Amino acid sequence: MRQSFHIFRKDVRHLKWELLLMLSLIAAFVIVEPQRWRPLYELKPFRQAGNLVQMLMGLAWCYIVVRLVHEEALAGDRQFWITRPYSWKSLWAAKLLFILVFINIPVLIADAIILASAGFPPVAHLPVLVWKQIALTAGLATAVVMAAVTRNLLEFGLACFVVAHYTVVFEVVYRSWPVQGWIQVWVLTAILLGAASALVLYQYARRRTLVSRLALVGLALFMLLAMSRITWNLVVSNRFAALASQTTGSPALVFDPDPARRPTDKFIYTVGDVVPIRIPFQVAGLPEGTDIESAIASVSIEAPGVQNWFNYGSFHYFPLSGKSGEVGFSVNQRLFDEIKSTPVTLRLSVLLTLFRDDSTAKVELREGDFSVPNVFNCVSSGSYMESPLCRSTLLRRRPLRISFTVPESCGPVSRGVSQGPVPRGELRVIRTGTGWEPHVLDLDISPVRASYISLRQWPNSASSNASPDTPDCSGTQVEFTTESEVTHIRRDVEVRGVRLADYAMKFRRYP
Amino acid sequence: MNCAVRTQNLSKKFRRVDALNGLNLEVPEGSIYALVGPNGAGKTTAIKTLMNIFRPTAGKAEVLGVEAGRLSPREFARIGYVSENQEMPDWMTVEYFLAYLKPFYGNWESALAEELVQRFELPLDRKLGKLSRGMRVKAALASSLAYRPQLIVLDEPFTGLDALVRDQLIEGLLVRAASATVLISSHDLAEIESFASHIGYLDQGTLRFSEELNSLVQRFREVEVTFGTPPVLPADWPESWMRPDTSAAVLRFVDSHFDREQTSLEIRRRFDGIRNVSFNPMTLRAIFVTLAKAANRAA
Repeated sequence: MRQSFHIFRKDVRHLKWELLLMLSLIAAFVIVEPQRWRPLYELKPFRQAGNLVQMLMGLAWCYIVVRLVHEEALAGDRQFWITRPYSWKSLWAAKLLFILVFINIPVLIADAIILASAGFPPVAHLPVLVWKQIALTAGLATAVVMAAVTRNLLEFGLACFVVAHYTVVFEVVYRSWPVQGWIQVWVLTAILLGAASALVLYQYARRRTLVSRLALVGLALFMLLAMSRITWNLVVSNRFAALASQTTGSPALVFDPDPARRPTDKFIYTVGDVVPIRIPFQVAGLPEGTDIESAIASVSIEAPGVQNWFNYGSFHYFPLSGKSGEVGFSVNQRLFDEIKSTPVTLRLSVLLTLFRDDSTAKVELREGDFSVPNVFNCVSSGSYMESPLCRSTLLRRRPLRISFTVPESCGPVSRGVSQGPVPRGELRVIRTGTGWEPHVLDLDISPVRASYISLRQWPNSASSNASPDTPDCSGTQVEFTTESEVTHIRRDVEVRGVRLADYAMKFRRYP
Repeated sequence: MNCAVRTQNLSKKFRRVDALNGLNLEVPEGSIYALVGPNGAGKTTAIKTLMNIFRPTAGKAEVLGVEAGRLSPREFARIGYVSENQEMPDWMTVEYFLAYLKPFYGNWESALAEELVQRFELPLDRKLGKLSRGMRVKAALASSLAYRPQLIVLDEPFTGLDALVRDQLIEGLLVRAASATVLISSHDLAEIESFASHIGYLDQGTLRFSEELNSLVQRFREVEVTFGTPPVLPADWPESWMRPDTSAAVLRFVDSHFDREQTSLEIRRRFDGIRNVSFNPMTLRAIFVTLAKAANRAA
């Protein structure tokens, strides 16, 4: 341990100016970040600097990690230290200590300050801080492993160039998942943390650069495989298999043969060489106070003269449109042309997650800041944007229901193309979500995300630039109801005699 | 015989190139062993394999009784290694470099380090990156002698240095070498000759010979035989008589197994009309050139 501190002190001495720059960037991040949560019209001086600071901070971490590792480069055969009595464990511990003290801890403190400035007590949001640390460590581990198999900054730069190209391929592959979000992020983080850390340890212990480089290439290929559709199919098929097949019970999925729910336009819509199909359903028997989320579906088609066809799709739930839903999937053009007019049998299996109302917060909407405890901290602009800008944390997304009755005194609102007259006295319900689902190549490193809650016909307060005929809607009582997960169920449905041509997505061609 | 370094059939391949080919090397404890050989002979590869910088493809290597692949900080605390192309922490001053290394060695002697700094005239406040090549080697050597290592390994330390610096290095080395084993690879045979006790000749990854320097110098002689008429080389020319050269009535060759009586006898047995025979001692450089040329001819 004494040797680790000795090496650590040497590294601090050598990298003091770089450290100063990096810590300044972290400080700038803390100062600038809150400005990104303010509405556009406020025009804070450094609002646009937030992204730049984040980018510079990422580059600074990368640079300092490379310099740190290359202080005692592991690749090569000419370094002075390799024939000195260095213990690889001490060396590794020294580098780890450096990263912990000068990157992880300052970022943890910065995140806590940012959370607090966003109105989220850090102690109550420890999972966010922990997640940020895990994600940061996974990223740093990647930089460390790349530095550990390169001899100098030039080689590292070349490696980054290769990685940049790899990222393009990687993005194409991971977007092949029909549903993106936390599963992918966790899979990727776990692989990076596990494999990159193991590789770093191996390289420190053995200094077998060629083996480590080959292992790194193997890891990159493995990540492609892990992010490929093959993994998705594997994960989903396991999830389908884990839940018992149920054809009855509540809520029930009932095929809706109503012709009104079929696309009426003339021309079949195609995406590349696939035809999107939407099969309408009704969701029956959903108990009061419960809700379901859109989910993954599997579809098989049985048609005369055609081998059994199977693919995955999705189920979309529209609770505000008479509790209806639809299963969406795509078939290739050739198969579609072959069977589009033939009555076929569809076997559908849908994975549903049941939610129950959890807690409700009532907020009186006025121009300025308002808070939905543990969910959002918002600023209501009262300007042309109409929607409040809400801050949330990086937590797993849960459904959120927003309901309000438009006061009689409110509307019509003359601003905005799509808004139309405000339906006074009518109960409006909006479904959205809490938290924030990151995606794999999300480069935003802030623990707080801000987004406008899209509330069409929002009865907001009048603003200074409102037209004189816009009445004041402030004081509207808005209810935010969070929902918590109850259980997962699987519903299997068989639909006979369906003509795919009736349910293919269509469009109207204008002359 | 106790050996500080011992290898058995040590081989190292770089892709398809055999850098070391079944090397059997023994460096006796307390010796100053010079590993010589032409460029590309495998000297640096041998040393880097001994220092666990390269992994051998086959064979075994032991350093201070420990397998080279298992050299730990404990062994490295007893080894001083200096190489001509070693990458140093250029940002450190000489003073900080020595101060930084001190805690790594349990038996670092500050007084000795100071003495070495003075002997080598090292500027303490100068950064290593700003030092001349000679100064850098001296700084590396000072940092490798200050803890009185049991084994000092020097890989081409004199390459590109002027005579004065070489002398300083050799002096500094010899002062400390009394209680240590020194393994040195070098092209500079004239310098090696002045202080090496043992010598090994490495060629194409194979050790051609390894012996005490005195014995080597004793067994090599340039032989000059003068005849009345131009001589004819006999069919049974001994293998140990190298580089035969006739010029009018004079025959010259190098005897690699010289023994005054035996060699005289062999000459007289093979030739008639001998007027005079003289045996001239050879420098290490002359021996090295003879061996290198013989090896080239054989190849």
